[in-house]
Amino acid sequence: MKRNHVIALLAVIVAFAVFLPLYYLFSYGKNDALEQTIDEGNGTTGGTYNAPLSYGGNYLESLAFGVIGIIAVFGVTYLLLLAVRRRKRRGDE
Amino acid sequence: MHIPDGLMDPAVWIAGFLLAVPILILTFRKLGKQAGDEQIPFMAVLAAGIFAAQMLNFPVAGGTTGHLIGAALAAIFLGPIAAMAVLTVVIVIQSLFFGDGGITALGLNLLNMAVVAPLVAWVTYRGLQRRSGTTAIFAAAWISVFIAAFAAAIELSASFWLSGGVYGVTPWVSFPAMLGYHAIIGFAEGVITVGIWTFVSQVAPEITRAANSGREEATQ
Repeated sequence: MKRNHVIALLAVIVAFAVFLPLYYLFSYGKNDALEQTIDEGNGTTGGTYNAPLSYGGNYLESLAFGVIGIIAVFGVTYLLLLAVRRRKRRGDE
Repeated sequence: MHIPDGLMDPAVWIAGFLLAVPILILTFRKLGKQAGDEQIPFMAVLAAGIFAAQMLNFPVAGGTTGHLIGAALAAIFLGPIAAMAVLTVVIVIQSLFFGDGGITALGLNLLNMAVVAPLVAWVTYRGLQRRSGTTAIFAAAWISVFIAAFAAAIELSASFWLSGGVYGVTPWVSFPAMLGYHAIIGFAEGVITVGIWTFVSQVAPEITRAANSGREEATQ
């Protein structure tokens, strides 16, 4: 992994931190399009699975969970693709 | 766009897994042949960026919000196979760790956002690319969102029909609402996707050049 990729990952985190207040200003607490469709059609939802994390309920929580998610997605994608690549190489040998 | 638990008829969400999982297994197998060592960190950064963007809902109309899917962005930068893999990781992490999208609905969410959307984006982009790059990117983004929403509307309607109204949403509501809202969300997705492509081509032209050459290889 090159320095450029670390800078790009940091840029993603900074952009997220910058745009997050706009989310809280204009969109927080409002239905997304699918939720609105479910409401309009009197659909029901509900499950028993409780996820260990959430997207938070205020700027700092969302920032913290967002950063955890960004790093987790980066790490899992990186390691998974590396594993897929190595497995393929082993298969070729 | 993330379908929650308890909304879909079991036959529909099981069908979602049966359709999505084999396609994604094949995707990861094929990806092993395509992904170069230099490309892997960029794919991981793009996945992280899509995760971040999907958290940032923007207002659409009538108090409703939407968010970027990122399928066109991933397909245009990485090609369809890598885009499907990247979106799979994002959607699985959102579902398992953040409760964004249900566990039972994971197959359907993968089908809509990690299979249908990137493939539609890719086909649209390839079809229009030679006429105008920017128009092709915008169209790919808009159509990928619209068709993914169309797929979700079919799933909602099928659930309603199969369960006699216990699950899903009536097609009289699901089609106009999903397609109407996502026509607007798709417009925002198109603007954002074009903006990111333009920005990256300015600050790191080697990435867009590599994406262009990679796409040529992917289709050969």
